Amino acid sequence: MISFKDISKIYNSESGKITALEKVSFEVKKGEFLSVVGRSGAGKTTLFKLLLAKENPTKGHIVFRDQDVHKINSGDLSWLRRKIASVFQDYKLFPLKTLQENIAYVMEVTGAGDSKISSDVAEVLDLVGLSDRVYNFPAELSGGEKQRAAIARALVQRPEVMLADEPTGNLDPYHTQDIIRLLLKVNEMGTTVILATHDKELIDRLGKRVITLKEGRIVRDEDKGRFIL
Amino acid sequence: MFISFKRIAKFGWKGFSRSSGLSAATIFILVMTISLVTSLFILQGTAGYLTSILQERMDISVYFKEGLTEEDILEVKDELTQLPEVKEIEYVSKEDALLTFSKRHQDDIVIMESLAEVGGNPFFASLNVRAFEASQYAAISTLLDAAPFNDLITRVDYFEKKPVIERFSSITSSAYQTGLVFSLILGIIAFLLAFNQVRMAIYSSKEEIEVMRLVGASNWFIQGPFLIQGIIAGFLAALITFLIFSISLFFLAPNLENILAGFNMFTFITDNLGILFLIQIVTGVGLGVLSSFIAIRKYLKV
Repeated sequence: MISFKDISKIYNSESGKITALEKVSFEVKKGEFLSVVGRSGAGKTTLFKLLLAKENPTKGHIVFRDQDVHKINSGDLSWLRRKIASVFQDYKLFPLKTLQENIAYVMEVTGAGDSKISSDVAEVLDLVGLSDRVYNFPAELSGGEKQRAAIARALVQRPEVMLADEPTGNLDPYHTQDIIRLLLKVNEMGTTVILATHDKELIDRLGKRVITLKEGRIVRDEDKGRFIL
Repeated sequence: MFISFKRIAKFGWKGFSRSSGLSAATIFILVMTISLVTSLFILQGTAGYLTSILQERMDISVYFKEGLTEEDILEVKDELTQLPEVKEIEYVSKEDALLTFSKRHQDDIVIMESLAEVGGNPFFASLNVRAFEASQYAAISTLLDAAPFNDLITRVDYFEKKPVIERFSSITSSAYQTGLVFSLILGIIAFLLAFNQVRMAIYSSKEEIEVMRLVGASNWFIQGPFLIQGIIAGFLAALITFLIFSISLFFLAPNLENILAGFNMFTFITDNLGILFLIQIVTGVGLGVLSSFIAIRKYLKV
């Protein structure tokens, strides 16, 4: 479904060249739950940015559904980003929109009808357990609720892939479990999930495929892997 | 298409009303900008009025020799009327000239006694020639010198009035040029002020725009609400400026009328209501939309 082929990403900075990723190659199958682990600066976020075509690789190709994502023209980027939804550590909810509006937005941009939006938004809010927070603004929600809202927003566009970049980074252990349970549920519903984290306990408990990045290189790729650096 | 437009308008309105602090700041800056443009408009009207008043009062007089009949002079008048520089000509007979002089100085005993001493009518019949512009009097004077009826003329007072005419002509021309440069500079400052304010407002939504891109919103869907916010801010700013100027000039204009040689600013804005409101709306909405359009482009490249 997704192929990273010999991907390198080098940033030019004032202090010289910084290699964020070096010759990274791997594949992700449809419906898979993959964790990408590594210390801060290992290249996890860069990997996501490249997959979303926010940045171009210095070398190599990323293929999603038989299409090189960096050859997709700017008009079709919207299509790519509806197929590959993202969840972030800092939630990135729209602060001036209510929870309902935040989630509805991603359907509104596709031109979906009002009744369809209304029913789908209610469905995902129910799924993430936030049906009673529909008219609240993000500032009125707890960290865990915000992250569940962010997952609901990603989910409502029925993506094929969900990228979760350190989604539990700002949460306590209780809410971390809550979010991971939700991501597993999303995965069971057929969505491919790629989770980036540096939470060792979490990865060890998951028992899913783990790719370990170290200084921009893949040092381990194991099914039912563990967090080993 | 209609659904999209409706949603963009809804997002624009909600964004505008929910970020009330920023919206108020944007409106304030736009009010300042539109006020500047409105002031320039009113200043131009005032300058135009004052120029026309002075121009109306300016003429050159062509005095004719003794012994000519009124028909002779009116023939000259007809010929002069054909000149493209000439706006209007007034014939003043010897008798009219005496009457006007006597009326003007009726309370001045010395002058009236001197006039009686001279005896008879010492005045010449004349034509008061008025040009369209002050700069045209020199050409008229040259034409009079070369005209076939020149031997009927005893004197043209152009050379006496020349310094005043030339000075007025140069003041008018440089005032126009200065006004143009001044307006241009103020216009640029106004645009930069408004642009900077809108840019700040959009900068505060930088992350939001990035998320919009990441959830698959098209450029039009992202840009649209900001343009709508620009339109709303521009429209409200134009309305506020219009009310401020109308109300303040309603009270101030009568007091300023004496200083401005009878020019009533309130009457001027009511006479030019349509064009003034159009200028204000175009300035406000145009600045709001253009600033939003330019400022947001930077953040769409995600």
